[in-house]
Amino acid sequence: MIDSLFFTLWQPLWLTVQLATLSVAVLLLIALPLCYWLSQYNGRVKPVIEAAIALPLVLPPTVIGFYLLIAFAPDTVLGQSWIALSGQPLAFSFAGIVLGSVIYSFPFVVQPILLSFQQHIQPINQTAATLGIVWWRRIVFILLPAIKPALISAVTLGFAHTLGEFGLILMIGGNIPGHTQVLSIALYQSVETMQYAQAHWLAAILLGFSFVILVIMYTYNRAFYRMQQC
Amino acid sequence: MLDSLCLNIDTLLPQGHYKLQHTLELNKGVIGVYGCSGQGKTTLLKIIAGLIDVNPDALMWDRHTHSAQSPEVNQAVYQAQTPYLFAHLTVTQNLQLVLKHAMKPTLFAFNDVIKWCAIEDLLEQPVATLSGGERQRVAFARSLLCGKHLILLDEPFSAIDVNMRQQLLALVLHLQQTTSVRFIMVSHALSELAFICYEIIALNAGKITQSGAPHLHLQQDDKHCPVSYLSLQQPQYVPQYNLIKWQLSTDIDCDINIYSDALNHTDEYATSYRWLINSDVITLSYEQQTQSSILNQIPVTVTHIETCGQHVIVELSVAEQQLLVKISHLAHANLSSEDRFKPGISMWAQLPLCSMSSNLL
Repeated sequence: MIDSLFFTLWQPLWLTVQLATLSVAVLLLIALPLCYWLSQYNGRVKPVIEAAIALPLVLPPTVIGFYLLIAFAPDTVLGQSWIALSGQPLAFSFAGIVLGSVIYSFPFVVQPILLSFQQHIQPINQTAATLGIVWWRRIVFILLPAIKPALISAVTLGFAHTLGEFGLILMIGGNIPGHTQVLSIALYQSVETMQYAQAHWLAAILLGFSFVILVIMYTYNRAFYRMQQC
Repeated sequence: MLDSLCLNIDTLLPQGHYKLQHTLELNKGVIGVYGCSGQGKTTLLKIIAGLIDVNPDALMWDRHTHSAQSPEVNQAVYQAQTPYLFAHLTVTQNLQLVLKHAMKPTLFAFNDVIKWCAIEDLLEQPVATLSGGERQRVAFARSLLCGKHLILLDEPFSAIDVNMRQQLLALVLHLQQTTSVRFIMVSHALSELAFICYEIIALNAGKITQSGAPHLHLQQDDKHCPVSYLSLQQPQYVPQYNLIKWQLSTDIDCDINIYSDALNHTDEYATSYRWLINSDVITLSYEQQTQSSILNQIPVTVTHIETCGQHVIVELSVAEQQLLVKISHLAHANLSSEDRFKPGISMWAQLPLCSMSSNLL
């Protein structure tokens, strides 16, 4: 009994951690260059780009899920190339929910980084350039260390937000144990099937996990800003 | 080694049309840029540093045509009035960062620079805890360490107290005279520039209104109490009186001395000093004053006498330098009683003790 409970808890927990980690990694890879460019771009379509980035904040996740399913349907060009790349259709796959998470958590990762870039990039670039430091050294040795608190916020917020994802995953991934059944989905199913003991465990794990992550973020940021402001 | 920089700027900036043609003789001495706020002083420095894009033939270094160089590789480093220090690092880390990552090797030893700028006690502090003056000193140290040969200083010591500012200005002058580093300095305080500059250019709305030696600017600056200066050389410390004895000229035959108070720090490196003197603190007499407390008394020749409103301005020459004295009409009448007071006459000028820190008050 204990063994099977452990298994039913462990499998979605491990899947959730994998999903959140992978999503955050992909998000960082996209967000860092995008923010570097966007913080220096001042063209006419900037508000449009910013609105597009912020969209997942306000849209119901089901809307995103719906459009993803439509766009990546196996008979479309996107769907075909997705199958060619990942070997399976987007729907009901782990790769599919990673893509969904990336879009869903996009603003949570982009916004802290973008704000910090906008604050630091111009003075750092100008000062360091005139001191004779080339662009890639400026990024690696000055800019990224300078925005460390924003990076930590971005990573923790992106991670925590992916933990809390539900509607989008249900829409794209369904509820396949070991593939797409993350904690939030497993909790929903436990309640639906009236397995309340299991539901209590799943809910408590999600609550504790999210809370600890946020406490770590705020502790770190406080220490950093105290060092900077004294 | 940088000798000259020929400016041929003709560009349209958001602030307006910026058109400026001038040759800066960098090797001859510190160049000062003077003008009120908003007249394009900072813009000029940023253009030289390559931080503002202008016409491609705007800058010609050492009379060779150069294509426009990016700010990383050109010879100039720009230091802003409120310098940006990397806020997530300590003072030492800020300086080490430049030593490690700048393209050019440093021209000075780290320990020398921190001693010159008097920042030994700040090294372990996070930069966020520094005051404005401390930030300026750290930024100056960073500019010295970055390996570039032309340092563009934008009001570099504006937040620093008078004594320390005097020392840093003396340091700038000393480095210009004894090393390969060259300086262009922006200030709205003419006295500060006159103290160290070989040439001062005055800017107004992106154009040069006047350029030349400091005394030309000083005389125009204040008609009521003109300022002149004496260049002093070869300081000698006189320990029993805690005074410094300076020579007025390098000419051996001309042995005229000026005494100044001794500043503990400055005398280590100041080999020459430009003493700014207000014209109303000098007195004149026909005879040398003996048995008086006056230390600085020099033989002068009257070259010009001009009535200027409420007073009379007397131009003197001494050891090929020019000195201005402001006297009242009564004093003028007293001196003229024997009808001797004319251009060409030799007299004695009494000057106060030269105070190394009084210039910038």
